Amino acid sequence: MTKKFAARVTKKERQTIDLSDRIEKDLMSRLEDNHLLQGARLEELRLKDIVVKDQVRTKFNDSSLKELAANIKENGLIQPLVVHREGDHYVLICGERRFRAMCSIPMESAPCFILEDKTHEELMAIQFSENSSREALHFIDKADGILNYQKATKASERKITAALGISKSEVHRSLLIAKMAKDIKEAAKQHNTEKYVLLEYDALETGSLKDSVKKQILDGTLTKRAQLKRVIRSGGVVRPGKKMRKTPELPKGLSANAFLKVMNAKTKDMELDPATKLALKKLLEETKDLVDM
Amino acid sequence: MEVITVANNKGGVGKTMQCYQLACHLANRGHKVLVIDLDSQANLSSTFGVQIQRTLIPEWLIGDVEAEEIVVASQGEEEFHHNISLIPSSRHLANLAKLLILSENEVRKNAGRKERLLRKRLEKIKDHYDYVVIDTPPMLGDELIMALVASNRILIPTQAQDYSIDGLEELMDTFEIIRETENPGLEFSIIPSMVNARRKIEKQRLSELATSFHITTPVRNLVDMQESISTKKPIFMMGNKSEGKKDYDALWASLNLQ
Repeated sequence: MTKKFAARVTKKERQTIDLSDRIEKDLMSRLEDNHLLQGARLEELRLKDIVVKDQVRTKFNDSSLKELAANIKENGLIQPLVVHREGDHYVLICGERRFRAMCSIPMESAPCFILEDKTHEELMAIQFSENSSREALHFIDKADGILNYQKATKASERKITAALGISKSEVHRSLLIAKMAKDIKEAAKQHNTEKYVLLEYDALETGSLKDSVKKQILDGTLTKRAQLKRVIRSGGVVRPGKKMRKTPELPKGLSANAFLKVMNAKTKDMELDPATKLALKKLLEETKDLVDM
Repeated sequence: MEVITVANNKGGVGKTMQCYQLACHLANRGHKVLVIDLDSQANLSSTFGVQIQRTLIPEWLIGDVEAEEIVVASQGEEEFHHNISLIPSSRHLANLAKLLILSENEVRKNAGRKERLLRKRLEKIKDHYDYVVIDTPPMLGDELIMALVASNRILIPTQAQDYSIDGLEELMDTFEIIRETENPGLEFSIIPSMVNARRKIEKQRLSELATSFHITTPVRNLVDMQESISTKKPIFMMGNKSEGKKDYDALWASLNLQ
């Protein structure tokens, strides 16, 4: 007697359970990293049907645009543009450099990924996740992009780290920057202010010092971290061109040893009765032993 | 709740087969069994008729979803399948190590160390099941270590062949470390598996193995086992004439799993 077995069912034909059906949509979208581009179709579009609106990247470099145009002329467009359909026209989402380059050649049409029915934030997030993988995006554009991405995907900082391949501290700093006032961000972009100036400004306590720093950031006289340090140290306003005398101060990132040294020096200056002096000396020595351990 | 892990870092020694037979056997005895498939090959899941789009085991371990959300009932038709719940796997589990590194903060907050994650998660559902049977991938990765930390005992199937015994010795080193650090109560049983007792070399390897370890009765390499997987019928459903059934009955008796 020969036994009979059921024919093998290939994996593709087996019934598949999608666990995501059971958990809230919200959670699933947090877990998914690649849902943003879902449902896009690829089509050849005429360039004149494409309109350019707000872009993550706001600074363009002319010579590199020419290079890109030459390259596209020779090799064709390798990476399709991404557009969003709005009524009878298409809004460009990703590829403004490529688009501009193609217009300058000029080219008639280009392959495009077409998206439909996405929210503004989702679009900004798509645009950003495309841009962030390349360098040379201004840090404020990048920060805004990360914030948009966070809003659109409701992702935690951890998920953003994974999805965009940016370090955790970078994500955190960028979110801080993106949440700053618009006028500051505009000014920083215009004057090429260093990132750390903004971060340190943000961390300042509200008060006259912060206000004066803000004013200087806004009018572009304060763009470097070193300048900001000087301002904070003197507690006032920098006069450009004039070097400021450093006032003696505690060593930066005060270590326990440094603290003890300063304390030792201070006690010598004070007029104390011998008993207190002795007690203090003892205390200092004991503490020093502990610290040295 | 007793947690049993089947492990050997050599592949193809019959781990998944043993998990399947064990889980069905225990369920048939009326125990509530949770089967956890930690192997990204997901063969155990598919033998229980479950194929999933994308596993959420990493999210469960990290704490983004609850166990209830990822547990699936066994899709088998027989009565005993009602006693079997399954946490299925899919190929995405291969990314577990990467995901755990990315989620370092959560892991620290949750469990202190990633090795303890599975134990932590199982503690929450310990009243729902009598037994947890864990299938592991054939490598000394996070999955295996977590399973060892979470378990009461490990079953180590090994072929009577050089490579498998190498794998077994490797695993015993890990086992010792885990017993010393995280899980002093962990016990192990070595099960000669897929044995062809007619071969002289295998007989010799078995007797050598017996001198350094305590080994259970062997499970032979029989066509019954292969048929059992293909037809998705556990070996105890085969008639009393089945040699495979005899092997497994003897094995469960010697392991005191009734």
